[in-house]
Amino acid sequence: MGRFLVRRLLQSVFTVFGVMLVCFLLFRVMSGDISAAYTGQHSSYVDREVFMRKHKLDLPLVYNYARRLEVVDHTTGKGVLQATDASPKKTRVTAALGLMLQQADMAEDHLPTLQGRLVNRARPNSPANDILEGQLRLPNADAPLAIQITPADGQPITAIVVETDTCQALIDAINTAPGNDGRIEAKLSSWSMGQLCNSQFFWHLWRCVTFSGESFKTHERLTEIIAKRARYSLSITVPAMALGWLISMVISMLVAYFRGSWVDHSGVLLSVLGMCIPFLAYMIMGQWLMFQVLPTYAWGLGHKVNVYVPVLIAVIAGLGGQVRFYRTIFLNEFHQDYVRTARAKGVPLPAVMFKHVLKNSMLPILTNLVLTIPFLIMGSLLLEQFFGVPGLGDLMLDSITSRDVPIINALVFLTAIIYVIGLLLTDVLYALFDPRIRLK
Amino acid sequence: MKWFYIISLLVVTVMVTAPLWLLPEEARIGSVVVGYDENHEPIHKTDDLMVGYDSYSSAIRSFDATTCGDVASSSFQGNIYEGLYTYQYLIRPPKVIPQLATDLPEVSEDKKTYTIRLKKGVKYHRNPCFGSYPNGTHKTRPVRASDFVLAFKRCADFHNSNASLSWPLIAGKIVGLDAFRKKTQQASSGDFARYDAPVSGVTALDEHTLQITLNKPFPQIMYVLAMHLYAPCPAEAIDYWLVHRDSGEGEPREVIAPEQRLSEFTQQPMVIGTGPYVLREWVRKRRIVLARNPDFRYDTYPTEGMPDDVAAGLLKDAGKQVPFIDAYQWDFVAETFANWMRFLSCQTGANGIPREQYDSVVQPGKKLAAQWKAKGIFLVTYTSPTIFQLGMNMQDKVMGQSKSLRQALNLCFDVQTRIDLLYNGRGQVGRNVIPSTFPSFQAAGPGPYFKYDLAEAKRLIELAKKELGAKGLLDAKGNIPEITLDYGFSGEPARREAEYAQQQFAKIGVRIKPIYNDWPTMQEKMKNGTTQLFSSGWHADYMDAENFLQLYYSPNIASGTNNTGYTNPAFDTLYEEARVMSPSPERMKKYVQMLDMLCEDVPVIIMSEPMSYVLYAGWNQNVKKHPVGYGYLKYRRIDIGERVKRGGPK
Repeated sequence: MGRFLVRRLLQSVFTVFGVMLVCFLLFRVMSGDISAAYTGQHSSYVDREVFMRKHKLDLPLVYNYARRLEVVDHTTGKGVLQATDASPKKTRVTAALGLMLQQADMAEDHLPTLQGRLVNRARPNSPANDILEGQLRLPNADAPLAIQITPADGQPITAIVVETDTCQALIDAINTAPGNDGRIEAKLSSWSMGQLCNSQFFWHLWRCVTFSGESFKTHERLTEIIAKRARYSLSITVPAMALGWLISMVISMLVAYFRGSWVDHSGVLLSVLGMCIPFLAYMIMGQWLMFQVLPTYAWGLGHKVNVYVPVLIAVIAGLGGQVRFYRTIFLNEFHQDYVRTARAKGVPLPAVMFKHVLKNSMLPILTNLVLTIPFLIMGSLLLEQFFGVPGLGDLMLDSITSRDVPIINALVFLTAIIYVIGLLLTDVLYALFDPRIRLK
Repeated sequence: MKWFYIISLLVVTVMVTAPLWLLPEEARIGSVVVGYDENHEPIHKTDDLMVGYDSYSSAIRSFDATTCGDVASSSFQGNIYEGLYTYQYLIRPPKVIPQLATDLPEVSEDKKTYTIRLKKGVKYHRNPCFGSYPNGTHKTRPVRASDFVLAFKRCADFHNSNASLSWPLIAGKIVGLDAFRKKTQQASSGDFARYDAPVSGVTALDEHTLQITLNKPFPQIMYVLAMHLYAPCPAEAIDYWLVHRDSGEGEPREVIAPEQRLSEFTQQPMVIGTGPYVLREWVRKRRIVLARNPDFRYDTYPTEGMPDDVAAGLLKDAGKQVPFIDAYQWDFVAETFANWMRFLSCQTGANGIPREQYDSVVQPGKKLAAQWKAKGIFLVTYTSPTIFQLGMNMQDKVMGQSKSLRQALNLCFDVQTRIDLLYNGRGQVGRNVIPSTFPSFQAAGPGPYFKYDLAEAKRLIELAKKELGAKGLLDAKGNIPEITLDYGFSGEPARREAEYAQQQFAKIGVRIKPIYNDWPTMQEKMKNGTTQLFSSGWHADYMDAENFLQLYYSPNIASGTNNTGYTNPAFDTLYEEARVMSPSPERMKKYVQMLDMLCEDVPVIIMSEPMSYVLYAGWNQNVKKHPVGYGYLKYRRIDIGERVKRGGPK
C-alpha cells in the first residue's frame, strides 16, 4: 500500500508537470502583446516594458543564459540618468537597445544604471544586432545612429554607434565617446550559475506551486481571489452532487426492484427523455419559470436559498443519465449468483438489496462519484453565469477572454492537482470496498 | 452496514444544506445616513427610502478618477467625483458650467493662464484617512486648491496613467507637467515623494485659487476640465491607503514595503470624492451600491432647459435641492436573458433591448409598441458622439496609392442596410469623419464620398485600376489584389460584419480577406502598420471637431492616435493653427477646410453613428441622456409608489 502510494504520487507529479508545461506553451504560442492589452492603447514602449519586467515576462523562456547591456552612472550628480536618440532621423536606437528604463529595484549601494533588454548568450564578440530589437540593423543602417546618454550631472555624452559590429565595439563606442572620461560605463551585465533558473518557465512553475501570482487585471493575490470565489462554486456543486446522488440512487433502486414492470419502463423512458433535453434548455426554462413565480429568487443571491434554483436544475438535468447508469449497475448485481442464493435461503428482498446489492454496487458508484470531484471546484460555468453566482467557473471564463494568465495558470494547476488526488482516492477506495483488490 | 447508510444520509444532508452556512448573508439597503448630530453620531433615515435598482453588464475597471478611461467606469465615477466644471444637464449642444469652481476661469491675454476660484466649503466624503471621532465616525475636510494640484500630478504620474484617459488629454499641454512625468518615471512606483516636486503649470495661489498655465493656447481645456478625471485628491488618502495598511484589530496601521505599494486606489474604502454619492459597496463584477453623501453641499436642479424639456416634465423639479434618490444598487448581470427578465419583473428600472426582442418592442418609426407603453415603460433613444469606421492604412502600398480606390470603397458600401440588417436600425449613417451632432458638421456638411452610389463607385474603381496598374500594383489577372480587413474582436458579431463587408466590396470586384484578432494583436498590428483595412471607432472625449481631427494629424502616428497613418502637410499646418484658436468663425473655416481635405482623401470608410435605445420603467423621472457628461444621478427621481404598484421592490 505504502509503495503504491509513493509510486502513484510520483507519477502524479509528472502528470501535473506535463499539464503546467502545456499551459505554459499555449500562452506563449498565442500571438499578440499581452502588455499592450494591460497598459492600454496609449501606452508607450516604456509602459509595456515596465509591465513585462514587473511580471517577469522579459526573462528568457526556459533557461537563463542571458545578459544585458548596462550603462552605469559614475557621476554623483542630482539629475537622472537617461538615454535618448541623437540620430538625425530619430531611429529609436535607445528603444531598440532597450536602454529606456532605469533599474527600478536599485539597492542603495548600487549606482544608477540603465538596463537594456535581456539577450540569450550575449558575449562581447557576438554581433551587435543581437542586442537590438526591431528593424534597426547595425552597422548597416542608412543614417548615422547616435545615442545620447545624460548622466546625473547633466552633461550629455553622445556616442556614434554606427560602425559597431560586435557588442564589445558597441560598448567601446559608448565608453570612449568624447567627453565621457569614465563618467559613465557601458558593459554587459554579469552572469552566474544561480541565474540559470531565473526564467519565465521556472517562475511560472514556482508561482503555480506557491499560488503567489497576482492578477494582471486587478492586482489581487490569487489566494484571495480563489478563497473568495470557491465557496460560491462549492455551494452550487456540493448540494447538487449530494442531492443528485441520493435521488438517483433511490429512483434507480426502485426501478431496478420493479424490473420489467410499468415502473421500470416509464422510469427508463423518462430517463432517456431527460437525457435528450440539452442542459441549456433546463436552465433557460428553469429561470424563466422562476421569474414567473418568484422573480426575486430567480437570479443572484439576494436570498441565500436562491442558490437552490441552480442546484435543482443541475440535479434534474443530471438525473436521467445517473438513473440509467445506476439501474444498469443494480441489475447487473441482481443477476449474480449470491443474490439467487440469498433469495433461495429466504432472505427478504429489501435485506438483499440493502445488505448485498447496494454494497457490491458501491465500487462503480464510487468511481463515478470521485470523478465528479474536480467539477466541484471548477463549478458549473454555465449555471454560475446564468444565475449570477460569482464562482470559479465564471472567473476562469473571464480570465481566458482577458488573458489574465496568472489566474488561468493557478486554476489549471488547482484542477490538475484535484483530479490527480481524486483518481488516487478512487484507487484507494477500491481496495477498501473490494477485498479482492490489493494495491501494490 | 446500517451505520454506513445512516452516516451516508447524514453526510448528504450536511452537503445539501452547505450553502446555508457557506454563503455570506447579502446586506440589503435598509437605511442611509442623512447627517450627523452635534455628538457626531450619524442620523439614519430608514423610512420612505428612495432606492433604485439596476443591472450592469460590463466590468468596472476602476473607481479611481485618475485611472478612469472607459464609459462604464465613468458612468459610476461621475456620481462620486466632481471636477472643476461639468456640463449642464439639460442644455444641448452641451454647455460647460462650474461645478467645484465658482465661475468660469479668468483667462489671461495670451490665452495661456487660467485662474480658477474654488467654491468654499466643499467637503470630501467622510473617510478614516481624515481621522475619526471617539465614537468611530470618520472626519472630513474641505477641498483645497492644492488637492487639484495633486490630482493633476497623479494624472501625469508615469506609474498611474497606463490605461487611463486623463494623461493623453493633457499630454504636452500644461507647463512643466511633461517634465514632471519624466521624473516620476525615474522614481519607483512605491515612492510617493515624487508628488512633492512642484509643477510650474499647476499651482495653488491660495487655498481657494488654482492657476493652470498652458504651453500654448488650448481652448478645448474647458472640455477637459469638465471631466471628473481631474477631481481633487486629498494627500491624506495616499498616505493612509497607499503607504499604510491595516494590521489587524486594534493594532496601529503598518507601513507597506515600497515595492508592494500600488499607486492606484483599488478598493471601495479608498474612494474619496466630493460628489452627491458615496461608494457604499463595490464588489468586482458583483455589486455596486451608491448612497447619498450626507455632507454634500447645497446644490439644485437646473432651471434652464431646451424647449421640449418642459413638455417632457424635465423641469418640474427646477430649483429643488438635489440629490433626490437615497441609494442606488447595481447588480452585475452578464446574461442578457436574466437582465431582460429582471426588467420585465420590475426588479430593475432600466434596460437595453435584447436583439431578439427588438422587433416586438420597437415599431417602425422608432416608436415603442403599445403593449409596452401600457406597462408604463418609456423609450429613450440617443446617439453617442461616436463614429464607427473602417480605417485604411495610408502607409500600405495599395490603400495609400490610390485615392480613387478609397473613394470607390466608400461609395460602394451600403451603410444603411448594414445598420438595418445587423443592428436593427440602431444607428445612423455617418456622413463625415465627425458626428452629425457637432456644430462643425453643420458648417462642413456631408462628405461627397460618404454615401452609397454604386454607379459612381464602379466608375472610380476602373480609374483606381488604371492608377494601380501604372504603378504595377495589380495582380497577375489585372485585378486589385485581395485586401485584408482586420477586426479587433471575433465571434459571431465580427463574422457578420465581415461577411457583409465582403458582399459590399464584391459589388465592385474588390476581394476582402477578413482577419479576426484579439484586441492586443490588433493593437500591435496597427502599431506596426501591417493592416490594410481595419475596423475601428472613436468616441468623442468632448464635442469639438479637434477631437476627431487629431486622428489625422501626422505627428500623432508615433503616439498611436493616428491609426490610418494619414499624412498631409497642408492638413498638419491647418491643424496646428486651428488647435490654439478660441471658438470663432475663423477657426470654423479652418475646421471646414480640414474636413474637406479628409472628405477628398478619404482615409476611412465611414460606417455609422451608433444609436442607443434604453427602456425605462415608468417610475423613473427626470431622465435625459447626456452625450458626453456623467454624474447626473443626483437629478433623477424614482416614484416608489408607482414601482410597488407594478410589482417592484419597495
